[in-house]
Amino acid sequence: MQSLRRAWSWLRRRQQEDQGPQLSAEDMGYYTENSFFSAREVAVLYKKFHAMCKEGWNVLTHEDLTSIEEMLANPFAPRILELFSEDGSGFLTFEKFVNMAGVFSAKSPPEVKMIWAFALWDFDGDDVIGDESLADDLKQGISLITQTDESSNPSALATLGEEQIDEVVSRVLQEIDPNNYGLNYADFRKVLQRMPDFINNFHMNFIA
Amino acid sequence: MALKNDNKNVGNAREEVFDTISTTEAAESTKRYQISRAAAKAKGRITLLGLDHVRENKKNKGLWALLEDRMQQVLDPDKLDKAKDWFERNKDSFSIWTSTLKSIEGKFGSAVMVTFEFLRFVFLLNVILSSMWIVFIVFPFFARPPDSYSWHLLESRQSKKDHYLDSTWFFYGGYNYTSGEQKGWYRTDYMYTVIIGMTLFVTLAAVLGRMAVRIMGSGDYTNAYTGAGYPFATAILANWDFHLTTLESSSNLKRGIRMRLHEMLADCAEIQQEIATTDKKKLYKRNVALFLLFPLLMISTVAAVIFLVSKQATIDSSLRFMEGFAQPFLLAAVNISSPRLIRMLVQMEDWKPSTADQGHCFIGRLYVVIEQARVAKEGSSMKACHSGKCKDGLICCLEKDAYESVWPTCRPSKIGYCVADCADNAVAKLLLELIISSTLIDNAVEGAKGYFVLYYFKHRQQMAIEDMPIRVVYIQAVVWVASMFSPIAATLGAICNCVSFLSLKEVLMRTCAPMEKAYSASSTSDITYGLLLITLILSSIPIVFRLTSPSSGICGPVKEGLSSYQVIANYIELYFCELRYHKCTAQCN
Repeated sequence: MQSLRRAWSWLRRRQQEDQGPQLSAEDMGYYTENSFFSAREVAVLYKKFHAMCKEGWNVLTHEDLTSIEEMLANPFAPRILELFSEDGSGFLTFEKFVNMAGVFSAKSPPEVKMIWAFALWDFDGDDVIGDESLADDLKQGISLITQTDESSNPSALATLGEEQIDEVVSRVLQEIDPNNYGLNYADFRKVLQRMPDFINNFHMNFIA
Repeated sequence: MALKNDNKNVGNAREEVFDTISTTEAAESTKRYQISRAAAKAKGRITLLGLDHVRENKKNKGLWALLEDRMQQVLDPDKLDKAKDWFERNKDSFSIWTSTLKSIEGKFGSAVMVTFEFLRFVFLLNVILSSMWIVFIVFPFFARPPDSYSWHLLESRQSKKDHYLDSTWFFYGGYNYTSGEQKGWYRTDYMYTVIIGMTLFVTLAAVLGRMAVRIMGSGDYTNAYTGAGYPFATAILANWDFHLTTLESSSNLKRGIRMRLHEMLADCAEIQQEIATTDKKKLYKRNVALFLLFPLLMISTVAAVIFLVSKQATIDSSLRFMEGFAQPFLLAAVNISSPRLIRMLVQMEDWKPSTADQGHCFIGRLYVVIEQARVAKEGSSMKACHSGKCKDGLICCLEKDAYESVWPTCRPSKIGYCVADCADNAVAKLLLELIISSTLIDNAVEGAKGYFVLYYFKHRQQMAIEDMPIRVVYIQAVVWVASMFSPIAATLGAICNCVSFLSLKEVLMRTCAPMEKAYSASSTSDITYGLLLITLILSSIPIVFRLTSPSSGICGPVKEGLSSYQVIANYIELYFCELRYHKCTAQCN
């Protein structure tokens, strides 16, 4: 009987070691109260966070984050990481990592997604997506989502030319900011409300 | 002097470097300041709107909150909390194929994932319906089978040939309970009707619930979608699919967005593809395809479906080697080949269709199930045999058969008339065979096409995700109607959905490339669930028709001349009579 008990407690210890680092009960309670995730999901995120961190570090750097699966193919990854680091450093603590995962999760309300999407496009942080920066930012955005390295297929349609990008930018501005006043959050929200695909697409699943 | 100049130059260079460094640092510092401001404003806005009260937002609202409150009053709150925690921790284990869907989402985008998720939804729905049928209809059969059933039936297969399953729990005809055979409150005659009603009700609740969750999740603007108002803004701001996790899928989507922008710019510049009137060959090809071949294809498809449905006996006798499966196989073949021929015609005349090309085949398929229900009804009316021949689906009752038939249809009193051999069972077999053959053929064709293109043309095809939901909804319509005639229809539907999911997933992963076209995931989802809802409403028409039609009494639990609706009405009346009787007795005492 004693040997059985010893074997059982050894198995439990091994199981806990295999599970990796764990959050304290207090921290777990804090994250489950203040995020969209359940306790199990927070545990999964914590495990993932520590698996990505360099040894001895408690923050994720830009290099660590851009290597994860969800960010690999995302051209907006650098901007997302800078924004959610909240100070532009690109370093994420676990709390900020949970916040980022929460915003992109399916449980997050559409309003939260739109607020952060607005922040994504508000490059100068003045709470208005201004007309000058909007044109530049749109050009950058268009390049991110259209340009690929297709040197093996150099057809005319492989890239968008400078003139074509300018044409697209001017048409987008005509649609969403015809008076060149810039877009505040309310205007931006009205535009996104007419694009339900935005809510569906602004979603990354960090919980395996 | 030279040294002085050199020092000056070095000094200038150093100044320039320092200026560059300080400019870079200043720019970096400004950028960080701007980012921190943007992030702070976002968090402030979330706090202002109360969206940071996550715990309160997580709580159930409305009816669920009321139910939860009541449960807490009745049950031990600690146990309830423990049960809730256990469910929260383990709820992901209840949902199947989650990792598969995530993998599909990462490689092929959200529109493809939504289509497979719809297939999973239909599978789970069929599992629930199947459980209902097994618990309330099949288990009671095993507990107390009717006198017409023998446990040695399956052993005597040789003597019964085709009809050895007819008296079993597989089919409606097997539930041949006579009056007085079932004791107690449970009666198969009314319970069968109740479960048919529950099937429709549960499906309706599930579909409406799913649609409500989608609408609540994305807000009222789901209904106000006017992508047409912001075509360029939509293409830039809303088309990037953040689900994608592989470089290949990302590259494909970028290519798709580029192509779309090229087309939109071309449209804006009013460059149209005009077929030159001097190019007569192209013009003739277009006109022949549009005005001759296309109508011909429509008419021939409709004629083929009508022929296959109404001449089943003729087809079975001609194709003896496919006995029993000939008609469903040929129907499935027509339904698969017709849309593909349409696509070929479309390419001939340079026309860009929507999924409407599947529409006429879908209507044809619904016609099949409605026709089967009509045949079942026709089995109950009697017509005299002329020269020993009857309409397809009926047999001429001859004197030699009058005393040996499996079902009491060919009785001495009906010699010389066209009678049916438990038409309900015949229809059930046809519909179940249709489910099986459609599933197998659809999946086999998809797989064969994918592997052929991969190995012969050495490139990966794009899966036609717009066709998949229509096939799924079609199978489900047949399952609903077949449930009237066989309690195992939902079980078979679930098995077929599972087979479809797994085989299509394999075909997708091995032979398909990520989508180039930027599909709208929200529109895909709206269309699929909307189509399922409309099909449910249309499928309920033959179901209601059958439940209100009088039974032939040849087989099944409902007596001759009574309809299923009347059976329920009689039981309700009997129940209230008994209630009144007991009340009166109690008062008198």
